[in-house]
This record gives sequence, structure tokens and C-alpha cells, in this order.
Amino acid sequence: MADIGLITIAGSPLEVLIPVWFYIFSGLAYFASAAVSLAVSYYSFRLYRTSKSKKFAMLSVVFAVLGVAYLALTLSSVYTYYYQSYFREELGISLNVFNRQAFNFYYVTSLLSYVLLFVTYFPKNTGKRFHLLYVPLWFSSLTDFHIASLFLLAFVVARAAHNFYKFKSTNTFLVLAAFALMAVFHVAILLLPFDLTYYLLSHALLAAGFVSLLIMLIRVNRIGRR
Amino acid sequence: MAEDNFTVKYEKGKVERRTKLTIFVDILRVLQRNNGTAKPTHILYGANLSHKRMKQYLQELQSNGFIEQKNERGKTVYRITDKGQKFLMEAKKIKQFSEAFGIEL
Repeated sequence: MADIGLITIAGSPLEVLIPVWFYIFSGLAYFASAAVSLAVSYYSFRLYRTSKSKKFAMLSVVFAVLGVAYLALTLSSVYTYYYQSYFREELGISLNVFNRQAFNFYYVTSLLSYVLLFVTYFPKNTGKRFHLLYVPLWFSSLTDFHIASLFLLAFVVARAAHNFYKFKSTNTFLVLAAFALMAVFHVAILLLPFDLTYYLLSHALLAAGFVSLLIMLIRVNRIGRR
Repeated sequence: MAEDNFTVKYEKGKVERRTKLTIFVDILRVLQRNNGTAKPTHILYGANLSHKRMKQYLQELQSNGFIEQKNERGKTVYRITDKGQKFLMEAKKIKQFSEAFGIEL
């Protein structure tokens, strides 16, 4: 059992035995997500400076916060891997204490970024009926981090799908795919107690989502270089 | 020619108000289409502006360094600068990015 670590699943009260090498995989997925998030944030900020559009500023904050959230998880994964593999006693900080703090930070920052994204996508001039969406959001936030995230992302995915239907372009599809994969990541995490392979699947989906965003970013940035 | 939809957005028969960025792009496009130089009258019609608003925007574009005023055969003309060309490129990126995320400017 030397290469197996008991770990609390991100945002869930469940604890599952996960092989230590999984942490390298999840660490890479989290790092890729953080890097792409920060790149999108920087790009949005650059466009905000030119356009002075508040929506770009909001998008920049959303992805900056999300990037920091995934950086915390990257650190947690790397720390867990080294703790379980080599150091154990020598590192000084208990694995549980470190992980709990890293994950708590992730829950707060990630949820904050999703709420901001939700607000960014909230339709203008729709009257009060859309404000009813805040009611299930409040209830879901009381139950589980992943369920609350799923609720917020489901709304964003619906808006992105509407946008894709409107423009039917590759870039709109890439953004839709990114948000949809981020939502499926949370579903796969919720399914983790049923099968451990969902851990790998969820992180692969998360990384795929951010790769989709990266492709969109490259495509947009290539304009003018053709 | 999807990029040309920047100018005026039609949605269900109604014309949306143009943002300052969109008007800047429209003016710079008029100059670009005329080999980089255009008379105020061309800009007025090409960018669909009133004389008062055109003067105001041309001044802003000049102070930002996107265009320069010149005299050709005793007549005032405006020329797009390199900075203006770069701004047009940036505006294309803004449009593509905002469209990708479904964000209205």
C-alpha cells in the first residue's frame, strides 16, 4: 500500500484511495488548466484596455481567479505526490492539513470565478424572471461544491450553446466545448465513488476543456498574422 | 466577409447603437478602403455619422495617433497611421474574441 494515498476528493466529503501516480496526472491537468486560464485572463485584460468593455474586464477577473484556484490544486497534487512517494515525515506539514487548506482555497476561488462567469453571462434587460436562478444556486451551494459548480456551469453552457447556434463558428464551438467539458469534469468527480477510473477521466476532460480554450485563443491571436 | 459585420448590427429588424470602438473601426475602415486616405465627406458618408459627431471622433482618433490630418491640393484629408492599422487588427481580435464568448461590447 506504499504507493496508495487516502485522499479527500476535491469538494466532496468522500474519501477514496487513489494511487500516488494519479497525482502526477492530476497535477499536470491542473497546471495546464491554470496556465490556460491565466493566458485567457491576460488576453481579456489586453482587449479590455483597447475596448474599455467591462465584460472583458469581468472575463479577465473570472479567468485570473480560476487560474489561481487551479494553481492551488497543482501545488496540492505535487505536494501529495512527493509526500506519499518520498518524504512523509520530513516535509513537516501534515498532508491532510495542507490538502484541506489547498482545497478550501480552491472551493472558494473556483466558486467565486463561476459566480462571476454566471453574472457575466446573465442576460441584460430580461426583467426579474432570470433572478429566480439565484434560488437553486443558493440551495446547491449548501449541498456540495461540485453540485453548485455544475449548476453555475450548466447556465454558462446553455448561454454558450445559444451563442454557438447564433454564429455557428469554430471559435464559438471551442468555447462551448470548453465550458461543457468543465461541467462534465464536476459530474465525473461526483461519480468517483462508483469507479476510480472517473478520476482519470475527469482530469482528462478538464485538461481537454482548457486545451479547447487555448485553441480558440491561438485562433483569435493569429488574426493579422495570416 | 464576416468581419465586415462589425459596422452595424441588425437584430430582428432593429439597429443597435454603435459603441465608440465600433465607430472608430468604421472610420478607420473608410480610410483603409480608400488606400489609407479620405476626405471628411467620404468619412461622413462611409461611417454614417453627423458632421458634429464626425469632427469629435476624428479629433479623438488624431489624439490617439490612429490618424493624421494632411493638406492635399489645398484640401483637408485624413490618413490612417501604422498605429491605426494596428488598432484595426486589434479590433478584429476583439470582435472574434467577444463573438467566441458571446459577449456583447
